[in-house]
Amino acid sequence: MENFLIGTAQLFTDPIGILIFVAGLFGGLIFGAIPGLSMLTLAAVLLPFTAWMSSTHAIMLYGVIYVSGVYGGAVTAILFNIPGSVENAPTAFDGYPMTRQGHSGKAIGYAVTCSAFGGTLAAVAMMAFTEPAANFAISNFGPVEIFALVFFGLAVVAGIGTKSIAKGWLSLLIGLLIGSIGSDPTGGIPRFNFGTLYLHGGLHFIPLILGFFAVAEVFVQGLRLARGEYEAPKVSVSYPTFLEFWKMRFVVIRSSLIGFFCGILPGIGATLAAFMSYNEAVRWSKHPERFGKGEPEGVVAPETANNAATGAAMIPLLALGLPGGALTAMMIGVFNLHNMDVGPLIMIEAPELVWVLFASMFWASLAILLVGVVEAKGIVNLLRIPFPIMAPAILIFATIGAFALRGNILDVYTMFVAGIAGFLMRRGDYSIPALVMGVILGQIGEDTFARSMVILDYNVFAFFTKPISGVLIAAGMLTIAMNIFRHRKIFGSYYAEYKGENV
Amino acid sequence: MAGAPSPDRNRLASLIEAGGWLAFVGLAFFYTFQFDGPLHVYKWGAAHWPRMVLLGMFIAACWLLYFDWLRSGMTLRDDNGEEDDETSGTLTISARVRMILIFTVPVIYTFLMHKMGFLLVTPFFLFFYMWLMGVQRLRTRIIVTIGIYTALVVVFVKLIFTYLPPGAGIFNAFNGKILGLLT
Repeated sequence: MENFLIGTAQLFTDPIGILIFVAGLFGGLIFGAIPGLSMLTLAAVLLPFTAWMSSTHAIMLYGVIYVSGVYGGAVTAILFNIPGSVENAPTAFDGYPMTRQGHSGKAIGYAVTCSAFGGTLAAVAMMAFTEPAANFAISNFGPVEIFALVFFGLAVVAGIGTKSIAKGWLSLLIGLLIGSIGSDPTGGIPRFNFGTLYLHGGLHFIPLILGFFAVAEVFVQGLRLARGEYEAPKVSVSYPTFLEFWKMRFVVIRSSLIGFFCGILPGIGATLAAFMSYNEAVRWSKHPERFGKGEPEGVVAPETANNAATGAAMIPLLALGLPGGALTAMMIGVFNLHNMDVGPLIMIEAPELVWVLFASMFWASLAILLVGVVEAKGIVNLLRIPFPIMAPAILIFATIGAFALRGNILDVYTMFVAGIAGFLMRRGDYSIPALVMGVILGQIGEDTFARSMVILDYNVFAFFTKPISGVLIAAGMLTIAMNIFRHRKIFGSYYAEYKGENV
Repeated sequence: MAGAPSPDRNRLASLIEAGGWLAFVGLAFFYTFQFDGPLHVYKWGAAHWPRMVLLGMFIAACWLLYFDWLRSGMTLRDDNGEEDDETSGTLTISARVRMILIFTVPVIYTFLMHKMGFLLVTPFFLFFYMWLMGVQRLRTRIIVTIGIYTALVVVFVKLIFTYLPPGAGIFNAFNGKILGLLT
């Protein structure tokens, strides 16, 4: 506690420190909200300039950008179905339907409050458990356990966003197949690249996500406009009530834990945290059929988890020198620019730097709440702009986002192809969430599966010889069996109804 | 159930859908033989994972065919007894043309943007796409196009120096001139 207060005092008694804190906060919020120009763009642009800052200011700036950037992407996901970054994609699954139903204010309110809550809780946990938590995660979670976790996640998501279990699985599996385009993770052998250099590195997430969400949405609404069936979403500035938040307490606690845990795992970070917590929200819900159609828990779960993961990602970074994702890897670059090595000794060699970082992330999480509440009241008014005017602007933003990623025009074509595919999939009752999840988790899944098989001597049943992986694989299989059972039950009732109608 | 497709038509649709998936699985499986050699570090090789995925797709497509075939013969309502608003209704010819343009114009825009540059093509795209989406008033379209274009230039060109397609040949020089004027 004393260290935290010293860190806070250092942060707020230094005018330049305050300036950098505020700049990082708003920079993260703005860049996080612009698709394709995520917080990573901002962090990469700023990297050379950090050489002129003190090491404390530089690291603090990155901590604040991380916290605010992860929240920033939720706003456009909710209002326009354009996730600012990959970890905000599950927020769009239910956030955008809430906007269509006239509950945009509530959706943003949930996102703001839960992001702040998840981030604050993780910051507190980060201060308390950095060393033991890092040791537990690193020693107990290898490729075998991570693959089991991914398998469990995939088993759950196949049942989301469609009435047909076969279409849910087809969506998920086509996502996994898209994720395997490029080269294989073990030997680097080219796969499904049809001889083109563009596909050699695989398809990037960002154009796919922009296509499946933003572009497909423009096409869907375009069809409605062409038919004269378009209805503008009602603008609502109502914030969720305390009672509504209270009903979410279990989702928030569960998602904070999932987010914190996923954040600790190196190379996994906020993306898996957001998807896993969404899955768990579906699994534990009494009304799983409401997910994907505007269920507030579908906004609360990923937004709590992805912000909780930001604080947790600092644990392996500081305690073991292991980055959890791209931004934490850049933070290692900042440390190196200042001739510092990250690892267990950092807590002894530069305690003031570490505690200013902890304090800044804690206060940034709380500042999101303050800024976000004001923002929530104002930003929903963007919905008052008629959709026919917004549509070309959305497409231009998406185009810039896809192109700016690698300066490659083929990314823009990929985005539009994904947009058309997303439109057709929505018409055919296929599941976009399952497909996106398949693409993102497929790459982690294949890599960890291959490494697991080498460790387990190519015996797939050996997953059950380890307690954590055994439980997770069994839970995944049980979920699949329950989905099939539920589907057969629904089909059985149809059949009975049909027979009744035709007697 | 007036206006609902006949059971035979439903069956044909489900047969085509599942058949399409099965054909896709077959082609993709055939393609995996191009990279199915063993690896030193991983004896199952690069084709193992895609083949497992394709096996899953084969099972799911058969499942889809079996249940949709049975279900499509029943001409049933969906769970809520409502039609999906994205699949209901019919389009007039002019609406069909508009819909086709809504799909194709962004792809044409991307092609032209690559050849002629972002700064030159974007205002025309904004103006035309707004018309496609139903903004009829010319003044509104001109004002909004200028407004969005200015905002894009200020944010992406002047503030954060985003790399945007510069075009090729004479258009490259032309875009450079526009960029010089704007900055």
